[in-house]
Amino acid sequence: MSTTFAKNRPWAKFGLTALLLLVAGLLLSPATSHDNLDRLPGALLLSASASFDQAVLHFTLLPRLTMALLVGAALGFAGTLVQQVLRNPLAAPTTLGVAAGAQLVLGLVMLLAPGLLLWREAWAMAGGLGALGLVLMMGARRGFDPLTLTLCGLIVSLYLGAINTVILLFNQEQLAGLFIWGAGELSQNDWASTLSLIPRLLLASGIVLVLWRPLQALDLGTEGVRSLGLSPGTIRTLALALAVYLTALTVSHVGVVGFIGLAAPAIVRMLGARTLRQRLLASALTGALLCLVADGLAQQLTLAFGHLLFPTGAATALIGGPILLWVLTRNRLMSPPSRQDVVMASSRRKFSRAGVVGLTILTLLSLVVTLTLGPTWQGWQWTLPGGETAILAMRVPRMTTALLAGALLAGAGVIVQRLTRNPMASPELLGISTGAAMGMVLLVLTVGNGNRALQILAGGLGGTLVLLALLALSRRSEFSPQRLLLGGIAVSALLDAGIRMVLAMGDAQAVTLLNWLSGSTWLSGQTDALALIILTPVLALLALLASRWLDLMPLGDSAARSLGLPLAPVRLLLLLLAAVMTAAATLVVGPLSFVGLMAPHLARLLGYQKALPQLLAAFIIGSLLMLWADWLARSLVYPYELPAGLVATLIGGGYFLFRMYRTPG
Amino acid sequence: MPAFFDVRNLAVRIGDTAILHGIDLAFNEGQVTALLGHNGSGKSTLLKALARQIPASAGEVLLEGQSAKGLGARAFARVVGYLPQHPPGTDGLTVRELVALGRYPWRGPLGRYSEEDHALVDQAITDTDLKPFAHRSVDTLSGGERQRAWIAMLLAQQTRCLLLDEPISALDVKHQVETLRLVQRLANQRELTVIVVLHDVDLASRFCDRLVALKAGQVVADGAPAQIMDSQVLESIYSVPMGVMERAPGQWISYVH
Repeated sequence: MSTTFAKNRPWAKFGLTALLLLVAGLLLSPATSHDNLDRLPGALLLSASASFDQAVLHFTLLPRLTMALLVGAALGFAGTLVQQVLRNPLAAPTTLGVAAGAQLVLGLVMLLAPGLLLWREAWAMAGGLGALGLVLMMGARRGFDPLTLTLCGLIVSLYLGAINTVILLFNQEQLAGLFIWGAGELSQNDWASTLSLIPRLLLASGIVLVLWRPLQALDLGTEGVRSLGLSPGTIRTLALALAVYLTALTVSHVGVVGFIGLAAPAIVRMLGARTLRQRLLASALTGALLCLVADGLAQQLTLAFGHLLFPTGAATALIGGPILLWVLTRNRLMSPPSRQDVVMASSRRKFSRAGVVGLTILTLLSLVVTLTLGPTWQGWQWTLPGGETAILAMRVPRMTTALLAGALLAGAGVIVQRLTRNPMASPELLGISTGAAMGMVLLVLTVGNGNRALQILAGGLGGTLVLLALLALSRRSEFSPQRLLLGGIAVSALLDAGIRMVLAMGDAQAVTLLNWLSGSTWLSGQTDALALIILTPVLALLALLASRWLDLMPLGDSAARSLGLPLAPVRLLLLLLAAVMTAAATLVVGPLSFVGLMAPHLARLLGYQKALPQLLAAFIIGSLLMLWADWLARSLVYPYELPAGLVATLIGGGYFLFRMYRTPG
Repeated sequence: MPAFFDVRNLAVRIGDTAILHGIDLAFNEGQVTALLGHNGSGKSTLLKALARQIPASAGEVLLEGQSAKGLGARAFARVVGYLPQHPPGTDGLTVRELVALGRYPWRGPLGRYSEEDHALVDQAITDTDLKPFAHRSVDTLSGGERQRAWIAMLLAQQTRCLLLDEPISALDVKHQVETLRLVQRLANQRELTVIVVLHDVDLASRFCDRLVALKAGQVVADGAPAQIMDSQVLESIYSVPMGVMERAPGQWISYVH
């Protein structure tokens, strides 16, 4: 095997990395602290005369250390499997909705029938498999095409996550534990969990190692696999099922430990592992060590802060994020993903006048209905202008905000998807909205809620900092799409961990934050509406002016360059534009995740393929989505409110999955 | 008059690997040149260096006696057109929309397309026999039709030079010949400078004025088809024993022993 590792002695590099991680992990982990090392012989074979400290070591610290290694290995393994099947370096077990599915089912069980929680593992598995089943059902319609699978996985993930958040919002007291569990918690109080995990992990990994050759053949693409006499569908299904099994095992025991499945395979690949077997083994080892370090860090931080519980899942991102960023800046040649063609439904229709007229009528109708109709204290009523001005005065600013924010996100989505030639890309993948969110979260933590201007300032600062970091990171590669996306994901994961951590601390303010994070429009007042009224037309116009660039970007670097497009400056400008659009929308309606992904797709499904019509249609669709989402959010559970962003995800996601299912490949 | 392209002591390295070194070549205006060589000989890299797709590690490329580096991206794209070996997916664009993108170097991000632009686009579509497909999505076409759509885009670009990287690799014999004939005809009509990477020596000798062969990043043969179509020269290029027959004046057939 070592002969295939020809250049630059990657084994040495890999060995050094592994050693560094191991040393860091052992230094951080309380189980291997100086005092505990002395107690180790006695603690391993616990006798009746053992001291209390030895018992603690035996029953909590050592199992926890083992658990960290096992969980990390399983996630690294599963991550490599998923990436091999989807042939996409951005894919991770979480991409397939497995974690979200498991979390949702566990939350529901906890709420409805706490007695059944005994079979935690089975419930998590059921949830994960259910989510995967949904994804595969869509994938099957298009021959398990990797891109479709990834896309459906992402949507299902967001969709289930949204439902989960709704449940959380209405049942905070009962489900407080789920906050923590959602961030990955590795505490143990005996060996039972660990011992039950070992044989299952060994079994699953054994099957994978036996099957590595057909799995490796997936590198050849669907046609290639078939021409070797294998069934691509069967191999992919089997591999994914195994990956889910591994993930669900870890989820049911310790909760969502998110970042390792993405970081370990990426690190291993950049250190030079090429064949599937090398990558599987190396990323299992890397994952285990990463998790060890992260868990050690989490325990140290928990000790340092005393009363606050620092979840391991948050620490994995704190560790994995910087490592991924470091590897990204160091390695000039990153193994590119397989040729990525954009294969969203190209059901091309005539660019019809009827479509334009239809959209216009729909917009006008929507405006009238959402403005005038709604529940009041006297029940559902039409409130006409000249009627109760107070109600209209309350509705107009937030409607305006929703409308304009929707348009901005849609525009940013079109730009980002065309810029990165990746239909899965969305503004929040670049980490800008997460950066803004983090700014707000920090503000709330340090000064309390603050006033609106202060919040906007903090959010804007956060978004800008992330953007600057991202630009610095990808400057050397001329802002290449792949690197931007990977960098963005690393930054998002890092910040997301911070946010989840804050939520897990169980502060009273966590709920306010959760509300904002899920896209609530209720804070929007006249100042927000005014700011957007001024900003949106300018930004939208700029996007429209850039539409010819946006037409050229998807043609690929060499074609775009040979047509005279100066790639680096054009990418920079487009990126800045998308970032400003995202940040402006995020600041007033929260880091909504769905409109920027969905509006460009819907525009395309309606037949608007070129940049200019796509942009225009996406603006309208994005606005409409947010408008109705806002309307539903304030009408459905009147006098309570749902966050509009959540509702947008629920409507849009449902429609999207339906379309994906209906349109064959 | 200076040569259209003047390549001086050009070297290209990727990492530690030297792909090209010590290339000295001049390409004259109106000349159709084929780049030959076995796989990995550096012919595609040379084409990319000429197209400014990759930077030179040493040496320089002069465009009409001036350093090509100084020219702006669009100004360069109005003079030199390049067709990559594997054009990417086109994301739902129709043939006509794709071809119209070829007018970008002339109109820029904001300039309006005039009657002349539309006429040039139509002409390019007619020249490549794509009229029946003009409003079909490029993604739904066959490999050959797709390749012709990209060539049509290059034609609409109205450059004075075409750099084609294996433009006929996905075509059947009929379309191979027709494409090369089209290139030859355009080169004559518009005084185009054409440099094309080809695998088929016989077709190259038939349609090109000059054949340049690379081997391990260096020029090993350079001359008119009559000079290159010789069993010893071909053998030195491809490292297999080869023979050549001249069936008729200007029509050679090479074969492997």
